[in-house]
Amino acid sequence: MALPISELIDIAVEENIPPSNYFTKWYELGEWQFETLKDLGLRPSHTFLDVGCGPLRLGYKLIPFLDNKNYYGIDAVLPLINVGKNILKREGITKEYTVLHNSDFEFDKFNTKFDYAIAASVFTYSGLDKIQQCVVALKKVMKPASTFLFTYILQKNDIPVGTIMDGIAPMRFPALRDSSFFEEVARRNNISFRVLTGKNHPTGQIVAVFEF
Amino acid sequence: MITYSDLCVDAELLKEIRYSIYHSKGNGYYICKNFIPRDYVVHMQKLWTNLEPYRYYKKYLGKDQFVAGCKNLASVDQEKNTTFHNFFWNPPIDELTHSVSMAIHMLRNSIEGNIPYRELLPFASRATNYRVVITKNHSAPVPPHKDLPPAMLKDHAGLLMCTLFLSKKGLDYKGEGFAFVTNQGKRLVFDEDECIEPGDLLIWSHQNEHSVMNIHSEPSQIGFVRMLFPREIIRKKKYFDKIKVANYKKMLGESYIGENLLLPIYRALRGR
Repeated sequence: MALPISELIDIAVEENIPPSNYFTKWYELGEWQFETLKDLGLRPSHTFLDVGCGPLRLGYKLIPFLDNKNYYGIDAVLPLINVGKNILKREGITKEYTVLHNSDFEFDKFNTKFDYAIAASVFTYSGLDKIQQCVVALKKVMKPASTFLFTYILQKNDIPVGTIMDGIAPMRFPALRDSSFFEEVARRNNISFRVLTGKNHPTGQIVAVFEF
Repeated sequence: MITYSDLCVDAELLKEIRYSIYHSKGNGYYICKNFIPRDYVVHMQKLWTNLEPYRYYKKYLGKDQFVAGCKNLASVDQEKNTTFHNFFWNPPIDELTHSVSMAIHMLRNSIEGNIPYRELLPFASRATNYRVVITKNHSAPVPPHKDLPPAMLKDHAGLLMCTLFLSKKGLDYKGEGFAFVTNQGKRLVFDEDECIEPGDLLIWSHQNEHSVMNIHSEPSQIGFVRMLFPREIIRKKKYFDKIKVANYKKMLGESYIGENLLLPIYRALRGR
């Protein structure tokens, strides 16, 4: 039984997070991520890394789906992680999972290797150096032939505008005019890159994968 | 020593305010008691209730006039119910009101989780109009309503409105005044069910039903005076030019010369 959106907002407010469309579009976006990952071949036995897991919008769907202890999440904003834990508790999700508060992509702290990973709306608000740092860190923990799904936006200009998420977390738009930056990152790290067509993202972002 | 953080709203206070407004167990509103001191209230009362609207303001005809860089606008009816629409890009008629409004705007943004200056100026499509509203006599100046239709709530769940009270029920006007339906569905009439004083700032959710009803004041009374801070859609100048051309065309078409001379010529030319 899914929690009503008003209850999701209550849980967020209890952690001092104001309502936003992150919560009001919770089910729509969580469902889209979940279905896209399954289409890419994700199965319960796979180990999964959620980069920028936030309040576990995807974890809420994935943790019950995956085998016990197969979900790992990482996020730079601690209150969001706490919101996620409370949501899972209220949903009665009892499977074990691991979540780390960390802003430096230190995936090796999980001491495991991953079959699948995602960064949903993370590269959308990351500087180019941060994106490269993330991919280099992923390279160390992703299994051979593993898949990393991510989303991003293209801009008309290449101005790297800065923003402040929720009024607290400074971020930069990567200012990408086309996908060539990701092609270059893939080449440099000896991995493959492809844009997924036909996976219309609910907010219109471009959907792509790196294959390791 | 002072840091940027010292100028931001304390996180614990934000938590208290957010709980009060957004949580289903909260009221749907939060009152900042004595947000401005008594001498500020007196100054603002005197200035705004004695200002001749059309001497300093362009006449307000409709929201199509809200164009980036437009002048401040005012409207007044036969009962002397007056509204002053002020924009942050204009030199202020009152520096205190301008400054207080900017502070309220930034506080609201902080509560909503936005950057402090968001929609102060129309970088995107909206900007705040700091509005001084003086209701002298009106049976239903703001009938009960919610600001957002349910379909829009998904994208704007956190949006807030603020009311800065600048006059006192009983002393400055009679009638119901401002009423608000809480998150639990209870209707509260302010200054009856909930105490509110001039200088208090009420921050409340757009989603909740609210109204201003039955305001009566004698000529010697200033009426129900308050400030509101709606975020208006601000059109680019090009749009306004189009509207003007359309209006001129309409006016011309409806005039004697237009109808009997210009329109037949226009139609004949178009049909060629």
